[in-house]
Amino acid sequence: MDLGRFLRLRKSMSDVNVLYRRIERERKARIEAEQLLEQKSRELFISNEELKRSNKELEQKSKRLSKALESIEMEYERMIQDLREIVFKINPDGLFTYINNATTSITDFSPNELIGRHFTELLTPESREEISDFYLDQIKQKEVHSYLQIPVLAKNKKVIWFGQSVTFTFNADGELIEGIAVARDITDVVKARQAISDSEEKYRGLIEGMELGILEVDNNGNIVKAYPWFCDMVGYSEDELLGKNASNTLLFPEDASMMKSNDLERKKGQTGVYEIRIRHKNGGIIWVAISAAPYTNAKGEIVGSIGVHLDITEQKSLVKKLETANAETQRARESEHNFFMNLSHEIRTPMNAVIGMSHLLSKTDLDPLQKSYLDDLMFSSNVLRGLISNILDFSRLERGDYPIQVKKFNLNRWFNETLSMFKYLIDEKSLNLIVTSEFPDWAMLESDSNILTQILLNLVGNATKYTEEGSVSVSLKAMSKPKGVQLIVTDTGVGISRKQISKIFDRFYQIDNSNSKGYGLGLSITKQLCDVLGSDIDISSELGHGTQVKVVFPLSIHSEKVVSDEFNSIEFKAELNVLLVEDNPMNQSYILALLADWGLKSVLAENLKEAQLAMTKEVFDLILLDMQLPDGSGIELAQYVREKKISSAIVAVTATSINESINREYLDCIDGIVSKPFVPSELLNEIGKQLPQLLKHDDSIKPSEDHEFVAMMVETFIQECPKLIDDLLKAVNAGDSKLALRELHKLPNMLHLINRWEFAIRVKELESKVLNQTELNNGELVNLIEELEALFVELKSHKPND
Amino acid sequence: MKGIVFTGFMEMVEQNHGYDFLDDLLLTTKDITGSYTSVGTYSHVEMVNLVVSYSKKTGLPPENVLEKFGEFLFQMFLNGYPSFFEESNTFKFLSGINDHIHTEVLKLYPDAELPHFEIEMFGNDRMTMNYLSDRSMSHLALGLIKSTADYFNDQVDIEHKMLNENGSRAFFEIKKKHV
Repeated sequence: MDLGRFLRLRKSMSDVNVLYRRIERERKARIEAEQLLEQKSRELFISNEELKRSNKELEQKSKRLSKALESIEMEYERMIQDLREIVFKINPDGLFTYINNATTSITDFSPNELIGRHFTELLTPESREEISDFYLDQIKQKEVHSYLQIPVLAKNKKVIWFGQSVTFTFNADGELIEGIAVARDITDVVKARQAISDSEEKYRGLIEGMELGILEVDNNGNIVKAYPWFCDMVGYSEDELLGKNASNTLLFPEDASMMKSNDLERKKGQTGVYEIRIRHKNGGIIWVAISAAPYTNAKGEIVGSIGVHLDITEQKSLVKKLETANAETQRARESEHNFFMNLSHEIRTPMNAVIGMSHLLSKTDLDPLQKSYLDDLMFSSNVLRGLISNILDFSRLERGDYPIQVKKFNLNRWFNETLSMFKYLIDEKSLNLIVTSEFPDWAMLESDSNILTQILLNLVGNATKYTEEGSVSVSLKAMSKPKGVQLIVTDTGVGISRKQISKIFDRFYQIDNSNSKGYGLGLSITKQLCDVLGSDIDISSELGHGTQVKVVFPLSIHSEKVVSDEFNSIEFKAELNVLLVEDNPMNQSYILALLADWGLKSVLAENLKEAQLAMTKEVFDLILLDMQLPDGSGIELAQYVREKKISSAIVAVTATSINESINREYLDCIDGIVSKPFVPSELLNEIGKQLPQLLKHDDSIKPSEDHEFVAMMVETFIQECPKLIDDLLKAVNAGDSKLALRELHKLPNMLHLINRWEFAIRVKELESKVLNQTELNNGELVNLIEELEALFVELKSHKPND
Repeated sequence: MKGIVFTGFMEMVEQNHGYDFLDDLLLTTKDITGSYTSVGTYSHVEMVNLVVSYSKKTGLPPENVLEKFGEFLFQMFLNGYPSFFEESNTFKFLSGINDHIHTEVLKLYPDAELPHFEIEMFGNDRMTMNYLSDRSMSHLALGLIKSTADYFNDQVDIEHKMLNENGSRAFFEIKKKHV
């Protein structure tokens, strides 16, 4: 083998080896790759299986979710369809893509009719542009949520207001995808709001139009609102008032406190009305009536108060004027009253004198004719006195403090006596006076006879005045319901028209001015007097046919001011027996009758002997003793009684005037004196005085007659006394016994009239002394004067105020 | 390191020196598997050994070897995955290495060890790339970068410098030439 072949062979072998290694490497690489492949495949397979399983799971999940979603969607769909609200979707072009069924019932458009239409087609034409712009703006701003109230035209062309909430969905690039909206029919709400607004406007107009001056303040009193009328009233503009403190700006400082207290009321929630002064801008005063109330916010908290201010300046000044006028009237009345009061004194004095003198005259010896005249005179003068009293007391009637003197008196007697006055008048006019009474002669009335007399006189007087021919009938009827006495006065006179009747009781109203027969006070007083007695008065009349007046008096009245005439209402506790020693038959029957009337047992003795005899038979409580008896003087019996220590009281009934000297020592034997003629009450009074322990009344009897009479006499005495004292002094100083006598002579009467018996007797004694002596005993006179003065002072101080 | 790198290296060696050379290289390099499949995964130390061994055998410095390899790999990638190179240019391609290229690689080979580039563009005519990789083969990247510019016919100046001792961080600046 050559080298070349060897080398070629070695090369080949080396090449084979290289090739072998290459192949080996390749094989290894291939196997590795295959292993990797297998591995990868396995991994892939597992992955696949995993994936498949996952997939399946997902699918199932998806299916379930789908189903759930489906049912939820259906649910929602149903809900949406059931909604009363309209739910809809629009696409970016503004077209409806979905709308629920609610639209049908609300707008009458069905969903089908609307899908694909532009949303502005449903709006009212005038609102389209504005609403469109609004939403375009929302989209531009990328505002997701919005709410708007829009007017929609329903199919029937009616406008329905909707409150619409829109939600826009934007994609990642900010482009609009769709809009979802819910729209609620708020037509009612809108209508209601409109109505409220209209109403507010209306009331605002009303309030601003009314002249009410309304002001609103907050809790601190600062002005929140001032209405136009208020501003006008106070002269400020609203701007000038807003924010200012109402009290400081508008009130006078002195009134501020009143405002404060009212404010407190307001804060407590109270309303109130009050009057206060307000200061005008120009400083002037305005009176206002404020009606204020607190006002609350929606939570019920008090946030201030509202006041209505009414300008009452006018009224206030009127009221002031009225008050002034009233005051003047009152003053006028007062002065009128005072005038009457003064007048009364001036008239009463001579009147009292007339009565007093008649009284005294009545105690003198008069023949029957004179007595009769005197009786009439006394009666008339009493009546006159009563009349004057009553007329002058008209003032007091007006004032309402009219005194009533209640006493029991015989009805028929009073009736007839009073009417007797008219006998003359009636005869003059040749009228018939018809007097009737249903009552028995023993019937008593408990009332104020003066007032009744006045009423009767007035009515009969009127009847007579206005009747020229025919009759006047006056009657008393008994009434059962109510129990009372009805007085009816009927005349056939001129009568009164209906119009005039209504005014008839007016003061100063006179039917017939031309004749002027009266002062016009008559019926007015009569009515007031009836009122005082609690009586009703009634007039009926017909022009030309006559008039009838009816008055009903209660049978008895009770008055706080009842001044009972004690002497007519005396009652004796026990049955007293009285021995009357009297020889004159007339006197006998008179006194016996009186005694019987008073419930006293009496025994009559015509002379001393009979008297003594009677006294042996029984013990008398009282002996009424006539001084002049056939067989002696009453004094003798008195002395006898005293010697025998008989316990009877002795009252001398004497015809002799006190002026006759009765020996002092005789006076010791008798207890009391009654001089003839006497009025019954005098006797009764004396009896009562002598037998006080036997009286039913515990009050001791005042030694006087009826109060009014006494008052009158005291009045007179007080008036006469000063002059008398003066004259006596003059007489003493001048040593003038004539003058002294003259004055002294007046005294006993006067003293008698005021029941100063003892004083009167002493004066008479002094009078006798002066008469018998040639010169004056100054000492005694001076003593007398002093006593007089003391008496005067005493009487004056006890005089009741008029 | 993925097998494709090794098979690529084998290809390059075989193409340039024939199989006998390669065979000898494989026989004489220590601590290597010897047989590589492109779908396999091998320690990058083997590649280092192979490069060192090849460098010894050829007398070429290892950096140059890597650079040459990088150029070879570019061609391989171009042939194998032409779609990546369509409609692009040097800057566009290089700036997309991380996001476009390497993410696709990771899809196929999730465990691939790839360098990370911190890329900064300065307008259209300058960019910098910081190379970060524990394999420290920035010269390989250099070769790839050079080939990219050549392929896209972009006249550029490429600056390459180490940023640390072991070469795990390197800096590249690619600047358009101003003529």
